[in-house]
Parts: sequence; C-alpha cells; structure tokens
Amino acid sequence: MTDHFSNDTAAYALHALPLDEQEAYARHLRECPSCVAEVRELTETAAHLGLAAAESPPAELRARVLAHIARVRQLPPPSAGTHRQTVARAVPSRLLAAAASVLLVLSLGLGAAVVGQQRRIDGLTASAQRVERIVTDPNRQTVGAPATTGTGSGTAVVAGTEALVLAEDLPQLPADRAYQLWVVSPGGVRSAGVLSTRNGSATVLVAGLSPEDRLAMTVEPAGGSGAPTSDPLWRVEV
Amino acid sequence: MARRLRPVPDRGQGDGDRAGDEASRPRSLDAVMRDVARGDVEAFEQLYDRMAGTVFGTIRRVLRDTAQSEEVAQEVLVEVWRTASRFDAERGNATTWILTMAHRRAIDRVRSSQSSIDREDRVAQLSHEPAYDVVATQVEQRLEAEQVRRCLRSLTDLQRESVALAYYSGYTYREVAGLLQVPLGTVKTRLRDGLIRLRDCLGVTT
Repeated sequence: MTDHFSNDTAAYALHALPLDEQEAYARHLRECPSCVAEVRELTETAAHLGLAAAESPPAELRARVLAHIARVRQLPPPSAGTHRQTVARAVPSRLLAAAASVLLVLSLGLGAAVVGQQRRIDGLTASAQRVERIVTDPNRQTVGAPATTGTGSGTAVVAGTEALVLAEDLPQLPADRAYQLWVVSPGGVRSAGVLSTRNGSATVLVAGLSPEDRLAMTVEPAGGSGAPTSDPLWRVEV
Repeated sequence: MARRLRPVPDRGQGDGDRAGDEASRPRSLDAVMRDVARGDVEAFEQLYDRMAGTVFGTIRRVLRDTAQSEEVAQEVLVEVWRTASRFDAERGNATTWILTMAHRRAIDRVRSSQSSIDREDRVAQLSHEPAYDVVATQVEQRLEAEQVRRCLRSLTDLQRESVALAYYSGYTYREVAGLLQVPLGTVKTRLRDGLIRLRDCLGVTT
C-alpha cells in the first residue's frame, strides 16, 4: 500500500479518525481489498481491547434492556434483490435547514485551544452524523404536532431509538423562562434538554427512545427543571 | 498459533459436573446471534449474559460516567437486538461486531458532548494498560484481560501510549498528536505498528 491512505488502517479500526477522514477512508476501503483485510484484523484486535475492559454490568440493566427489546421491532433480514424495501417520505427540507443552521451558528463560537477546538468540531460533526443517520434511515417515521396553546409546533423524525426534533414558531420568552423538551415514558418523565432557540426555532437530538414514548415541550424557568411544572405546549407520539 | 476471537462462555448455569458432556459446551456467539435475528428472546438473554459486562466496560472506559455508560450500553444492546439480521458472519464474528458498535457509540457520545474540559483533564491520566482493578465476574474474562495486558507489554511504550489514548480515552489521532506534541504521521505509525504487534501476539487472523 503506497497511497496516502496506507497508514490509516489502525486509526480507522480504533475509531481514532475524525469524522470527515473516517468517511473518506470508508470510501477508500471500497477500492482497496488489501486495506479491507488489514482493517478487519485490526478491528478484531481492537475488540480484544474492549474484552479486556469487561466488568460487572449494573444489576438493573438486564431487566431494563429486556423490557426495552419487547417494545422494539427488529429489522427484517436484508432481501437478496433490493437495497431499500420501503420508500419513506422525504424529510421536510426546513428541518434539515434548521438543523444545519443551528450547528453552523454553534461552530462560530470555538475556543482557542487546539484540542478544545477539534473537540467542538468533532462534536458538531458527530451531531451532524447522527442527524444524517436519522434522516436517511429507511424505516424512519416523521411525526408532528401543532401547539395546544398559542403558536408553535413540534416535528420529530424518529429512527430506531433516536429522534431529531424540530420546534418551530416559538414565541419569544422572557429572560427568566426557557423551553424544555421531555421524554414521557410509561415509567416516568425525563428531560431531553433545554432548548436554545434561534429565530423562534430549536433543534434537539434525542436518544434512548422506545415506541411507547411521547415527546412533550413545556415552558420552564431558565436553566430547566427536574420535572415539568406546566402543561405541555405540544405532544408528539414516537 | 492462529486463533480467532473466542466468545466468552457462559458459566452461570451450574453445569460443572457435566464435564465432557457435549450439551455443556456453550454455543458460539455467532450461532446465538442467528437465533436472536429470528426474534428468539431466550437467545438474546444468553447474548446479554455473555456480552453485557464487556459492552458496559468498554463504554465506561471511554465515557467514565457510570450513568451515561449505562444509557449507552442499553442503547447498544437494544440496537444489537434491533439490527441482529444485519450481522454478517462472513465479515467478522459477533463479539467483534458488538464491541465495535459499543466502542463506536461511546466515541460518538463523548465527541458530541459539549464539555471538553473534563476530557482535557484526562491528559494527566495517560493510561498505559487496562486497569488492574477491573472486576470481571467470569474467569474467561479475567484470562482474556490478562492476555491482552501481557500482549500490550510487547508494544513499545510509545505505541502502547498512543493505542491506549485512542481506544480507551477516545481521542482522535490528531488530538493524540497534540497531546504528545508529535507529528500526525508519527501517531498513525505508532497506532498501526502497535496494533499489528498486538494482533500478532494475540494470534488474530481472518
């Protein structure tokens, strides 16, 4: 291997390439069978590093996982002929634009330290990758809800256990209040974050969702609350 | 001696006095995965019992925070269930598939968190080997850990340091270069030479 990718096999196998280089390398692998063979061996080698880190899992994790899989549909086996079995509706382009603009604006506030800066760039590109994974999932579902009070609406693109949530037309709040997103499960309510709004919109990535969950947005004191203190402005079934 | 990655056998069922009995030998994890892909919950429970400790441990080495690690471990194990039909034994064994997913998710999570301060603090903790105080419930896991530690000693200090910073601390090679004040190419070479040495010591071939 004499091309400029030749030394990347280990970094790739260790997940030590930043996202843009990782994607470029993945494309390179499609044309380099000898690279593929080495990457496979080094990926298996890296897995040994993980095996060596084994510890007792938390006791309650087992029951939680088993309860969760009872509510999750498995992917069907890939069919021999076609790549995509379902034609999903296009994700609203304003959702993608909103997500991109939120990420772009955040990127303008980078700090000075090289590591810190790269960390934030990686953070944004990792978020962008999660967004892409959600919006390109052929089994994704797009669900939306208008506000129950005042203006504003919520839209969620749900793929597997993750969702990209867009809240729009949000009225400006006084400085001591903020919008907060919640995941409502049969077992309880947890916060999915306080929204930072720009021009009346906010985008949030949510993970760890189950099919019976609902997403709800409320107005809380600035900085957020441990639990909702007001009625939801809107609710979306996952 | 060529050796494929062994799945960790399940020892929790009190089958000690049936030594030599075919039925007491655990099935390969690849075989268990095939059943999981068909929706067999009991097979998934077997998979959980074998793999949850190493999934959780791998994630926690990267994320540090126990609560977040539990969350990501749950995500990964549910994703294993959800996408089991996508597992392709031709491309690598089930243990590798699961642990690669776990490590990937932990890395995604740590790189997308906004608090980089906590990560920069860890410059002071350049870990060279897996922790000795890891409590593994199964003998095979402890033996595996011991073998990896032994093989890591066959790397040079510089190789081991770079591999540990990349895998266990979750830094990109660029960050490693910044932390160690060495050229980018040097880090890539150390990672590659180190991982190849580890591969050969462990006897991994595909």
